[in-house]
Amino acid sequence: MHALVIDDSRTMRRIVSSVLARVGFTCVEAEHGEEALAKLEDMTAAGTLPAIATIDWNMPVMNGLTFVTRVRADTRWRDVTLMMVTTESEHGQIVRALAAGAHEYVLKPFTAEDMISKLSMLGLVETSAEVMA
Amino acid sequence: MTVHAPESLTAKPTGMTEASTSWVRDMVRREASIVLDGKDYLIDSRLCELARRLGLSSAEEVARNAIRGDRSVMAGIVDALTTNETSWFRDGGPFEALRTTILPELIRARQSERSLRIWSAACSSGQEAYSVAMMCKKIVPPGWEIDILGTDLSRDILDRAKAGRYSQLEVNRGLPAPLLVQWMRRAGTEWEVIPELRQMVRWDWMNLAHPFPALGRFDIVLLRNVLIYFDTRTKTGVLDRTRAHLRSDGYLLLGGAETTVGLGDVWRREVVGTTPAWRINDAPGAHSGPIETGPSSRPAMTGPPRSASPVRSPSRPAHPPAPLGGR
Amino acid sequence: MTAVPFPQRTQPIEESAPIGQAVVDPSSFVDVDTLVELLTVTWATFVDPECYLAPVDGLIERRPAVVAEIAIAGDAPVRITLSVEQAGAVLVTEMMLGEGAYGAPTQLDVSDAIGELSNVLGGNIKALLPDGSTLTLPNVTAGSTGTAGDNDGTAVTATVAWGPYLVMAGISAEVAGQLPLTASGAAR
Repeated sequence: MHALVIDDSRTMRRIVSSVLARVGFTCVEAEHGEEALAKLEDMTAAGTLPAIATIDWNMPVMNGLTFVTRVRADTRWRDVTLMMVTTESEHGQIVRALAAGAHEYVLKPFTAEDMISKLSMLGLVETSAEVMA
Repeated sequence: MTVHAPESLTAKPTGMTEASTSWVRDMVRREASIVLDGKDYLIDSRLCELARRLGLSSAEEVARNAIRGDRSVMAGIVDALTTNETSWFRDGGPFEALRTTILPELIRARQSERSLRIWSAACSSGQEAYSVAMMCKKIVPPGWEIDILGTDLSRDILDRAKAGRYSQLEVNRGLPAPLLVQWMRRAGTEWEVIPELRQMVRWDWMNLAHPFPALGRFDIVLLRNVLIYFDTRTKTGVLDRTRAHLRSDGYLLLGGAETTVGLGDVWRREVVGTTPAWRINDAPGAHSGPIETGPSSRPAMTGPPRSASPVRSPSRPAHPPAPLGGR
Repeated sequence: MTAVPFPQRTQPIEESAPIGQAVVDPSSFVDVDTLVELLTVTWATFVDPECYLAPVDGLIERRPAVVAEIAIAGDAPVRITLSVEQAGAVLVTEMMLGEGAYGAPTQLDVSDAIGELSNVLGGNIKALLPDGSTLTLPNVTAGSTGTAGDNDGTAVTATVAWGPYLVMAGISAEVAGQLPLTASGAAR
């Protein structure tokens, strides 16, 4: 299974990628929304459409909310689960992201278990005690 | 290549002896299959917190009490060291069962009463009860009376549950974002359950090991991950008393690896999806109490609560551990 | 660490707080205990689950540190500074990057890691400020541990020791005309 990890911080991309790798995802990274759209196009052409995209909100060039809106407007990408991973925790902003089409929302800071638990809720991974170790 | 923090970063605060720490480690491995090798600091700090709550003088005293055989202190230690990864909708399965089968069935059965009573026993800080409340709001038709009771042995934790306030770390785990925004609002660094949902639950102090007060009968009882702390005799008593407070067509939900096996055949196991649920078996001749029979094809009651795992990250309210002893 | 120096503190002026805006007292939104709590949660979650950040009182010597600054614009504009003692910053980076990181982290790695920690800290502080506030991107430079530096003594600062390494977080009021930071691409 493939994942697209979008965050302007390389450290954060590494953290998210390593959590996802633990539960079997192959990760592609992007620094901002525009690069992510380009990567998404590539992956579509290559037949490796990601099952999930993790999306930071605050990024240069194109932020996470705009990315979500653009993805949801494209029927080719209707099956890509969109999960915000961000420090933005204002109630109204979370509502906004979900209304724009994000499926889930992880607040920073988060632990590996937090993220895996959300993936499990989304049906993208089987949770078992071994994974938590 | 694993990078480890240097010694000084994980220096053990003063308090527990090696022997006590070792005993605690073995005990939680035995009782809850939790492995805490190399986590002495965590044992120390969590037991210090527990000492404060129990009014004891130190983590060492907590350990000594447990070693001497105080079962409730033992349970307190296991609880303090257990990471509840999904305290919201814990384990997933039971809540799916509620959503797809149990609630719809009870709604049909209670058409004339238009009311449901649900009990979250050993409710701890309340996430289970509020999760049930959220599920009811989604499934139960408007106009029905929904009465949810949460009980626990700790008055402090009941106060927390009643307040309905949770840290950002706590809401980040197991709670679907749409439900977070629907049923909670920010309050400082924390999140608070909105009044409309809070008012669906009432809270009361209760010791399951003792005779129950007049509770009436429930349609659903959640008794999850608490029986493991009891010996067989107490467990039988709790289950007998619970059965007396369950409607004849009601449902009992236990924790992941828990069963009523070996405790008589007054319970009937029913699998809802992938979740075991327990119904009252009132077939003639059914009796309670341990059965002295030969080998059974069913697995013995063993094993950890399904979500037990090595303690890896803070699951408690996001308050830093208070300075311990000479810091 | 290599000899390449960190960028020094110069940024193009793109946005600044409106002239004449009343200076906010950060302590009306965040107190020291909350700041320590946020630091601890951030550290424990991303860096070291078993860490204990010990509050440090009294005079603190200035030690070389990696300093990240992040600004929050809005009704209560503030500047947040996170400084991590140099050697601690390298260790933090190693721990965040985790297994598979080979060799010592580069300065870019360290900058990025401390910047991200300041982003997480800033985001959580932003949650305590009036709705509608926005966070800039972090600006990371070489500096020293010490006070956050403010003009009217209202800064809220917390200094902690992560083992032997000093970590300092500070929130100070953003004063019009102060060196602003590049705004992020946040759409508001």
